[in-house]
Amino acid sequence: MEADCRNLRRELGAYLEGEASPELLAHLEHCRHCQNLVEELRSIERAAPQIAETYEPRPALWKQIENAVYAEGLVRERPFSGWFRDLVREWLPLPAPALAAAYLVVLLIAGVVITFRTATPPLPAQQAASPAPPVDIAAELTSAEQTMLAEMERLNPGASPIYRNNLATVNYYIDLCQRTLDQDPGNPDVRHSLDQAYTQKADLLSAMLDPDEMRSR
Amino acid sequence: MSPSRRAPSAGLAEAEAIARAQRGDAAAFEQLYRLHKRRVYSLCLRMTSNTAEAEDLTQEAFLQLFRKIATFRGESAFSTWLHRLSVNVVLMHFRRKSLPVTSLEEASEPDEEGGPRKDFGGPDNLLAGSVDRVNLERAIERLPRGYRMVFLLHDVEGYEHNEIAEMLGCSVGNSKSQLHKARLKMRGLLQEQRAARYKEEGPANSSSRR
Amino acid sequence: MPSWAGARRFSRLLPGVLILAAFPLYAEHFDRLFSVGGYPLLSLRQISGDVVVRAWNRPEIRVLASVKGSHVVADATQQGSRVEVVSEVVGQHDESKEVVHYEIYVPAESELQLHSHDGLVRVEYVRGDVAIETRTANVELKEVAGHINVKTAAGSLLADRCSGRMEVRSTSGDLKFTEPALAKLTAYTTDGDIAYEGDFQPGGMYNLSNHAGTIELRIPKQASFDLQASSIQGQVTGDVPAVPLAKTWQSPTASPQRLAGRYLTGDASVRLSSFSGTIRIRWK
Repeated sequence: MEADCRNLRRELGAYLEGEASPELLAHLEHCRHCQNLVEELRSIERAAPQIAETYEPRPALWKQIENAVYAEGLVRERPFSGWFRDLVREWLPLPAPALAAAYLVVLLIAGVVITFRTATPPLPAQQAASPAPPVDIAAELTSAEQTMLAEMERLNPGASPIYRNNLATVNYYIDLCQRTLDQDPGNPDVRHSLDQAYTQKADLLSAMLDPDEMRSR
Repeated sequence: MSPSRRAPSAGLAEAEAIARAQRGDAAAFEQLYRLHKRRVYSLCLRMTSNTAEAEDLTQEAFLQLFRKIATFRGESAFSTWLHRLSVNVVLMHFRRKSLPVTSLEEASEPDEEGGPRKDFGGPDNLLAGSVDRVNLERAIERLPRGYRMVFLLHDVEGYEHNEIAEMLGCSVGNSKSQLHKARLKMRGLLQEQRAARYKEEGPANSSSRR
Repeated sequence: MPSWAGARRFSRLLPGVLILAAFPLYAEHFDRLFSVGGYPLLSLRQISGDVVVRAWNRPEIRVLASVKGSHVVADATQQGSRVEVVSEVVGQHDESKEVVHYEIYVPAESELQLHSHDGLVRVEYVRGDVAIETRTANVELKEVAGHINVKTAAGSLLADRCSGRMEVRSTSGDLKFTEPALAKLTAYTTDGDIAYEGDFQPGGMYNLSNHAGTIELRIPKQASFDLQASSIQGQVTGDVPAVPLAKTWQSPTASPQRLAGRYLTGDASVRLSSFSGTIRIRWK
């Protein structure tokens, strides 16, 4: 039986593609082992399509591609968004580069006007919405993070307490995991926990660096 | 097995986007990206098992697409054309790293020591109920790259052997034999995974399989 | 630079522009309708306020905005199949007072990219790729299907009857999933609680983890899944199930911190992990 199975094994590929010799068909009729093999291979083929298209790249990837597309000059019309574009387009039917120049001039003017308005006094730091983490905030943040938060405090006071607290929380757990890992280096669960915390920290930092958060209002 | 369409208007939307992209419309580029990013990225990720590399390859594939889109004349389905580009990008990536991607030789592999004999059937169908998404993904990750590409293109993405042969620059016969070996290897991996899940059971429990 | 004729037109524009710049151009309320093709993208950047996005059966996106602050500009524009909605605070002002509320209707199959600082983000009945990022805004999803990605610093998430695949990451927000039909769920919060109430999909992969806080499963007695639950410094407790487990085992280093086993035929794969939190498994 095994000799027949072995002989006909090479034909199995063809059989699954729909071509089969009479010997193979005869063998399959009575050989349960080969039947199982065929069924197993078929079940793989049947199951595979369900995983097509499972993964999704992060949203920021499009931005990178878009920048490259513009940099290579593949775009033949550069739109810029905003009600202002429609307004200016209506009043000023110029070709795109001239329109861009006009837009810039207006931005400059708008910027000048806004700066000359009376600046409101800076706000007192807002109360954090969540309860304080069980950590010494100052100790948990690195000096680089302190600098970043100080800058955010200056530019966007509403945001900084939230990021300060959350960053401190994540750092606290990173420390905790790291110390546990030091005592128990092979422990995969602790390593997994540490990785999660780092990923979350990366998320937080990336949110902080979003142009909306880190800019002068 | 063409890619499933989410909305009936998606086919029209794509045709329109292609036409506008051929004229250099930025919004159309974005639309094409959104319609196909998952397929391209999934292929790249499964081949590289690394999100950073997969993103780089995805970016390269789409850039090539946008550069060449003016030459697309509809001789094949757009998604096939895009896929061909993506496959090329992946192949080039591995070639540059001097890693084999497709083993195009016909020589049969030596049997592995231990483990189930991968090309013989057994008294029971051991995979009944095991071929689910979770296990498939795990097994694909462990599949040698030489087999992975053909398996992904044929069984997962649904391309025909003549299309795969053209994409990979091999013969149709090659594609068929590689696929067969890939499936045998997948079977072995799935059996191993199944065995590993049961490893910690006591000896008395083998009869209660479904 | 513009030609002479253009310059003359431009100089006529100038006073209008200066007036516009001096008084931020905003409407207290607007209601705009955009005609869109298949699978449009709604991209929204919100500061403070509520955002509610609902599916409807028209090939249009309707944006209703209600501006409550006096130093915030709200706008909605269209580029092809992409509608962009933006709130912008002009000048140095307390963000929490510059509130804009949005109510947006989108085709059932749409892609959403929603970005909000504070308030609420609520999405109902939409099918597609949904990416939500908030600072402290809470997120509520009702019967959303597709690929859902939520990132928040301190906001909480309530996902009711969602399906497809979902990833959530938060630092201090609580995450709650009720009657989910998700094929894949990866949820992480640093010190919030996670609650999962419902069944698992065959072949589904569920990965719920936090550092501190509780992770609680409330599942039906017929749930079929492989479980790995571990808390490094916390506790793992589970109800004795009504249906005997097919196979259960404790890991070799058996401890109150670990529970692993197969329930029924192990159709789904569930992994719960915490650093110092409590993990509880309850039957409904």
